[in-house]
Amino acid sequence: MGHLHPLTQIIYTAERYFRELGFTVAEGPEIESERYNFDALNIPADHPARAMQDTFYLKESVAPPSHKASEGKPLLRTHTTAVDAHYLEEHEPPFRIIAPGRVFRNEATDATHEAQFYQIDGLVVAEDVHLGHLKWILEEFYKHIFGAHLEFRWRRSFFSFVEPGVELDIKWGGKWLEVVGAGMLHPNVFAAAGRDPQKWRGLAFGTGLDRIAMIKYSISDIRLFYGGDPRFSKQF
Amino acid sequence: MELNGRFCEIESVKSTGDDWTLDVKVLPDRPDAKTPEGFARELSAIMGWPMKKGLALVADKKNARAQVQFTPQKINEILGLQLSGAEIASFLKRVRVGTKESSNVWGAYIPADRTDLNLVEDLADEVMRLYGVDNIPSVALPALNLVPLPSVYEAAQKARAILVSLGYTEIYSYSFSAAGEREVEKSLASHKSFLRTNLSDALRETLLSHLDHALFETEAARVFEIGTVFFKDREELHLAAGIAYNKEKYKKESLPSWFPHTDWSQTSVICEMPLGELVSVLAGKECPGIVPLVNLDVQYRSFSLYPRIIRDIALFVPSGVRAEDVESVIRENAGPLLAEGPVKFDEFSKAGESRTSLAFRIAFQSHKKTLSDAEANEALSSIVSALEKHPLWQVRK
Repeated sequence: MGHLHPLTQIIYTAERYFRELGFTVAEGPEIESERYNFDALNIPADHPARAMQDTFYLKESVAPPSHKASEGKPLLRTHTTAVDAHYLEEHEPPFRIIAPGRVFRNEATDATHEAQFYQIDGLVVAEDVHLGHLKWILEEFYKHIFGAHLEFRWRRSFFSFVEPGVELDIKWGGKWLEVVGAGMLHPNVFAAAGRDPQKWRGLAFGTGLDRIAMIKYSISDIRLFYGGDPRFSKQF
Repeated sequence: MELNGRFCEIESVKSTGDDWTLDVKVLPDRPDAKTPEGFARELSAIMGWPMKKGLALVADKKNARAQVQFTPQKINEILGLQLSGAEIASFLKRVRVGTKESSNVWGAYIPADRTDLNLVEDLADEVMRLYGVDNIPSVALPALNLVPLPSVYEAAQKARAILVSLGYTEIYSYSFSAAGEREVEKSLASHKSFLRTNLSDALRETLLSHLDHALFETEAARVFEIGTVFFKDREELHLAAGIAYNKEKYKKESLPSWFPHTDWSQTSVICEMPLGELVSVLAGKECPGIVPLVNLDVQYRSFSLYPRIIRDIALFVPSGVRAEDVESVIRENAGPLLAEGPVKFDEFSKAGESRTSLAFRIAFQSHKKTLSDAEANEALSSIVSALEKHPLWQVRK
């Protein structure tokens, strides 16, 4: 018997949980445009996340045919929320999706930071969903992974593509850990995708899968996920 | 602590004798709360503390920066609450947002310093943080029917299940490489300037390291990866799988007919193809389930970077004693230096004999230093004496 990568195991665990609620999996490109990575998600042009020190832009004098000039510079997606932006534009709501995948940040690597890592985003669009549903979906998801007796703490937070925005902490090993950012999809995001914000509401969430795997499996160095060392891989 | 997660995060609180210094991170949408006055207003709003006159002015028609229309129903629909108009108005008043109502259409008067309040959703946000996110009831989302998965995603899952059941181990390698067709600006290092065009190069390195760390020289290394590669005009999801018996010979193979498995007895092969080519091959195929391959209960143990020492143990046991029984005795008595094994590599019994010969391999390793032979032998001898406590087990020396 061989071994599945631990991040694959977390992704499939998430997929099984969300599929039972009627979610499907959405996929998107790893090379994105400024439009879907930022503009369509209500991230303003002067937002610090767009800066060169956080985002890998591609060095391309001639943009490849897959990229329209109007979509801005090609870049490596910095979050799987970009998949939400595509899906909302291409699919008539209502729908429920999760988007697991690889994302990139231009930052120096150490035991807790990598230039590439995995996220999962989720988006539920319907006429009658509210923040109470969002809380339930995420609380049940984290119980599914970490156990039924998990303690939660919700906080108000801020992300450009949601309003209101919230964040969830779980208690693990006696400490509160931030695990997921979420909120009600911002009306500007609906409008950018050509959907009526008066009609639809969206539950959106996004979280790092490496972090979930590190907490769950007690892995102390994120770089182990990408080294292919058999002494790591064969433990899972 | 009450303040955390309402509009800011408190980093530290220090006493400076007769006063206190708070180090506070204000959330990015609230620049108004960065001044001492703005911060004081927030404290007042959240804690219900009285404000100095002048600071506490609730905005009205005359001095409002803007007016936002809302209905209590809309705010309740966003938050999943059933607050009355008066309750919502009283929350808004705490953040100096005045309100007026006529025939259930409400207007909110936004104070000049609150540039972040422009939509009904922004008002819902104010109500939410004063009400407390924790206090909003969680409500089950009714399940819907199963929705089909994208075909490529499903093919990837099947490929993984087949390969793992054939003994292949999955790896994730880096998207960055020293050469390629797409280059990134401001790369982290010169050997990470490009995006990979294949998975095979990284797979080859991994196969070698798996051979290095194999417990037996005859053991094949089997590794695969599913990941995106990047060409000038497109990106593509690839599957690469490799098997290596030794470090010298490699045959490159790119035929999808390779999949799911051909017997490449003693030939080292790496095979890479677009996953899309496998969709039709795998569509109708009976595959092992992925569920049994997922185990969230593993607790990872960090591995040592010092060299290991390999030892073999062979013994006779009466027929009927299971190898697992012997393995558990070895495991329980090996001490903290046991790093790998025991792995059974031989079992035979002569016709007519009522005993079986078993052989196991183990590896000792320390997290702190390079082990000496004497230290490995000491650990081995405590295993041997534990095995010999069973009167009919005979360790071969």
